[in-house]
Amino acid sequence: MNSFYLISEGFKNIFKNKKSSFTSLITMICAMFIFGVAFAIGENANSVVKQVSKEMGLQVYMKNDATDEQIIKLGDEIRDLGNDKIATVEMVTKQQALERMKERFEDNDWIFEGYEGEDNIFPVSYVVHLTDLSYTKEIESKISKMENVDVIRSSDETVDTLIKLANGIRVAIMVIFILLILMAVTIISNTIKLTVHSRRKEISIMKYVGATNGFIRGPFVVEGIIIGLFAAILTIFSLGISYNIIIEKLQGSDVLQKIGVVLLKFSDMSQSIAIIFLLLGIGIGVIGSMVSMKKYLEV
Amino acid sequence: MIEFKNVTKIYETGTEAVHDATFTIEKGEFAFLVGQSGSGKSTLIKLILKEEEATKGNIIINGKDITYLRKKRVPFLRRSMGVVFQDFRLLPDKTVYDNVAFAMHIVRATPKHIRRQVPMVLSLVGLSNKAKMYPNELSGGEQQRVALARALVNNPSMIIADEPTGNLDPDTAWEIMKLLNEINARRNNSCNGYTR
Repeated sequence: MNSFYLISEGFKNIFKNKKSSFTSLITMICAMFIFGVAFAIGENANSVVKQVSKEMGLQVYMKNDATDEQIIKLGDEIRDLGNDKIATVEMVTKQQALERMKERFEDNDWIFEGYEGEDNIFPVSYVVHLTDLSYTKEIESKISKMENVDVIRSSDETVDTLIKLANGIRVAIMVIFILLILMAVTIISNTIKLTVHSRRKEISIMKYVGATNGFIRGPFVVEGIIIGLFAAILTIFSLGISYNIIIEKLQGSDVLQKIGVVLLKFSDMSQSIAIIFLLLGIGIGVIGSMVSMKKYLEV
Repeated sequence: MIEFKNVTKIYETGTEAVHDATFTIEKGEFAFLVGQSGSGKSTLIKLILKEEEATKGNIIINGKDITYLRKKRVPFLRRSMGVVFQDFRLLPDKTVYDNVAFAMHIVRATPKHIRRQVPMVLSLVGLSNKAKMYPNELSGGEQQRVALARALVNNPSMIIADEPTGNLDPDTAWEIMKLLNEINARRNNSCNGYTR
């Protein structure tokens, strides 16, 4: 019953102080929206990196004089590097290598005549796909130490750039995240401070009648939570709508279609965004109101 | 019920507001504290409410020494007394009824209890017909009666009033004093301290 009283008081406060509630709400929406944009960019960057890394793999060429047994042994050794890093290991036989070359040269495949069977000059190779591009260096050095390995090819530069890009974006998002939280907490606690200040008389009366600090704080915290919740819900909707509009335009563009990269749909990340926003909204509301109340509870 | 033992209060500014005060107010007693302004009446009340700490001496309320009372326990000390102030201290955006009910919400009374108790004290102070009005729609005497109702509603063991008639004209002041006297007669289990 008492929590009902606290909640109804919290709601009353919001409507009594429409202006400052509105300011808090708008501030939180702005902060969350900016964060949401950063988050969406980050998620997309991650997904692009993942998509690209699926395409790319290490090509491990074996020495030409390796026996069948040695070939199979190497494949097992590579697989033994661990499921967490190695996604797939695929063997390309001499015959397959030749056929691939023929395919590539389509009309001029006559140049490979005479390389059939015993005379095949193409080495056996393994195509190794990794679970994450960041393991490239490590796996490459491990494989190069194995027996009968001739050369390893990887698209080093592309990989490096992609990894750097993804990491950079992650760092940027964290920085934005922290800054925005600080900003939101400061502004929210200031707006609540105004409310608290305008109601300091009421607070002191409450103290004289024997209210505990928790009881006095209650409605303000509830107020913070409600504003936070509303901000979270409104942001999720506005972010979702604008995201989908932008993505639709981007996805239709030539560049993306050429690269063959698919951008995320809002529904792919709406769940994590919703969780983050709700926690953020409630957290900022609670912390903001706690911070701003402290001074006025000393009577 | 209220016992002061050699209590001295010196403010940080160096002003000595209370000097070596020793007295006892018993259950059922109707005590007045009279003095010129600046003589320390309000400080004494603040000490009882533990709004201020005594510099020296001990204050015993309801058999408990509150000198070393933890801050967290202060609200519960204050619940054992009803307090009335010179400036009424009502909440301007709450009705008469809510101003009184508010004190009961604070002690986490059940809604049923609140619905029964508030009209009862309002009728005790003669304001039953003004329950839905706001403080600024009432006269000074009526506002002080609301404050009195709020002080009474939780059945405190004592009523503390700091110049309860200070802001009222003589006629109204007399009415309030009569009311206080009447309440004291009815609730002979309480002790009451007044300053005027």
